[in-house]
Formats: sequence, C-alpha cells, structure tokens
Amino acid sequence: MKTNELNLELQAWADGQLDQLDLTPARRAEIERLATSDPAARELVAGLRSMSAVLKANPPEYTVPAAREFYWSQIQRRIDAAERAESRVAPAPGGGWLRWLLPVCGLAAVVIGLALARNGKTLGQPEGLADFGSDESGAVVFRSESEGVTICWLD
Amino acid sequence: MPPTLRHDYLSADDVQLVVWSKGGDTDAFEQLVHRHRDKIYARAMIMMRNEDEAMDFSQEAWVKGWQRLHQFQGDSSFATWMTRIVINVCLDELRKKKRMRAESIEEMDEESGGVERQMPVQLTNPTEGLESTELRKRIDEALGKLSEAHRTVIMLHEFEGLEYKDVAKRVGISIGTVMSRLFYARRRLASLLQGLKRERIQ
Repeated sequence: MKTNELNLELQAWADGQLDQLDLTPARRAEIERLATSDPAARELVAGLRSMSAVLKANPPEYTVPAAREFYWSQIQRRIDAAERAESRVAPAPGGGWLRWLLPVCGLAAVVIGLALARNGKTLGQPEGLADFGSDESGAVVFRSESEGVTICWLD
Repeated sequence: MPPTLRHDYLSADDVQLVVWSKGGDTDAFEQLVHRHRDKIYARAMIMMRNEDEAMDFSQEAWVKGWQRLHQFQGDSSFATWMTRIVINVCLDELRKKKRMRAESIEEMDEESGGVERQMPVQLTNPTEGLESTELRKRIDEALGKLSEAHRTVIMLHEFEGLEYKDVAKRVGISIGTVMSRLFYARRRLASLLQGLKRERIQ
C-alpha cells in the first residue's frame, strides 16, 4: 500500500462502497485481491472495520438538559409564532386578483397619459408635467414638444 | 380535542401518533417529542458541540417536523426522519457560519498527505475493555477533537448509515472528499482512543 488512493479504495471495499467508485474491472479485482490476501491491506481493512463497528455501536448519548414540560412549551411557542406569522402573510380572500389591480391601473394611467400628451391634450399643459393616477399609484408624464421628448414616472 | 375523545398516547406507537399529529393533534406530537427528544438533541450536540445551540436547533428541528408532517410518508421511521431534519438544521447553521471551510490544520494535513506520515497504519481495537458508558463518553470526547467537517462525515456515515453518495449530497462535497475525510477521521479517532487506552493502562 503505497498511495493514499489505494487506502481510500480499500476503505471503500471495507465499507461495501466500492461499486460507487468509477473503477475499471481490473482495478476492482486488484483491490479485492489485496483486501483479502495482502497482509498490510488486510490489517488496514480489519482496523477500519473495527473502528466503524465501535462507532456504530456506541454513538454518543445526551439527555436534553430541560424538563419535559419546559422543552415542549418552547417548541409549542415557536410553532404558534410560526403559524401566526404565516397567517399574517397569507393573502386575504380575493387577494389573488386584487394584487394585480394596482399595477394594471397604474399602467393604464400611463398609457392614457402618453396618448393625451402625444395629442397635445394634457389638460391645458402643452408642455410640462401632467399627473395621472390615484393616490396609491400615481403616474406623472413630462412632455416637451420643443425637445420632442416624453418621460413617464410611475410611483 | 374534547377530553372524552383523547387518545391513549402512551401506548400508541409512532405510526399512530404521526397519524393523529397530522390531524392537528399537538398532544400526540408532544408524545413523539418526548420519546425522541434525547436522540434529536444528541445529534445536534455531536454536530454543534454547544449546549445552547443544540437546544435551539433541536427545537427548531421539531418545529420543522411539525410543519412538514404532511411530507412524512413512512418510508423510514419517524425517528430517522426527524434525525435527518435536525442534521439539516445543523448543517445549514454550520454553512451560515462558514465553519465548514477547509481551514483547520487537520484538513491541511489531510490534503497534503500529512495523515499518512503522522498516523500508524495499524488500527488495533483501541476501545477493548472499556464499558459502554465509558466508551461512549470517550468517543464523544474524541469526536469533539475533530473538525466539524470530519465529525459531520463520521456522523452521517457511521451513525446514520448513509452511503458515500448520500453523504456527499447532504454535505455538498464530492465522493472523493467524503472518502478522504472519513479515512482521516477514523484514523484520528483511533489515534485519540489509543491515547486514552494508554492513559488507562498507566
């Protein structure tokens, strides 16, 4: 056993994981031969398996350092808090289409504003600012005939 | 639930408790928590090595367990399913802290082949003669001396029985890195436990 790679392959053989490696059939056969007949390889495999068996049979154990009622009360409080938070962010009935209403209204206001500005019908303001839209979704159009420019702001 | 309809939680098995819990019965879920809380907490302790964090993350795992109960199909035992949740919670936390980076001296040794030079090839049983309680304690102490990256791989493969490819997927590393970390961790553990054995003999 001269390389770390071989050690890792022997480990995979010891763990029954050799089939997860991308090995040629010849290499696989070589690993199997070494693992069963080479003294150093056999010793390594035995040691790895021994360590593995000891660990599997003796996982560290801990006890929750709190009384049953206290531990559960904290979990329950978190569950309740999460459920309250979830209900707060949940959309109201009808929220599905209401959610789209404001942007659509805003966009409509902009389109109307643009059309009016282009036709020079901006409520007596041939050049300058025109305000369209509601309090919630305002749209402001700036039209400059001399510059040939129209700019829209959408709040 | 009215008192007259309360179930016999103490004698019900986990499968039945899960069914009741899925129906919104928090008393049934509390019984599941009570049955498995030490195991879940222990997994968090092994990974985090900190009592406060283990308490916090084990409780977070139970909350997630409650929220995701509808996803539990019974392919594994409930305890195994919960164990995976707590491990994921801890892994997420470790990632957040960026403590999984290969920055420790141990990992540098692993990369450079230092392990080969420093550790004996022979891995004799270093725990022979130790009683179970003492052995678990010693193993835990030795695990505490590993880096989080190595400890995580040992836990997933040895304690949870995951295959290399599943460990790789869970941790987000290659199979080659899993093998390398596992090899290093086992030898380091053997070395640490061997040291403990020598101390006992002396």
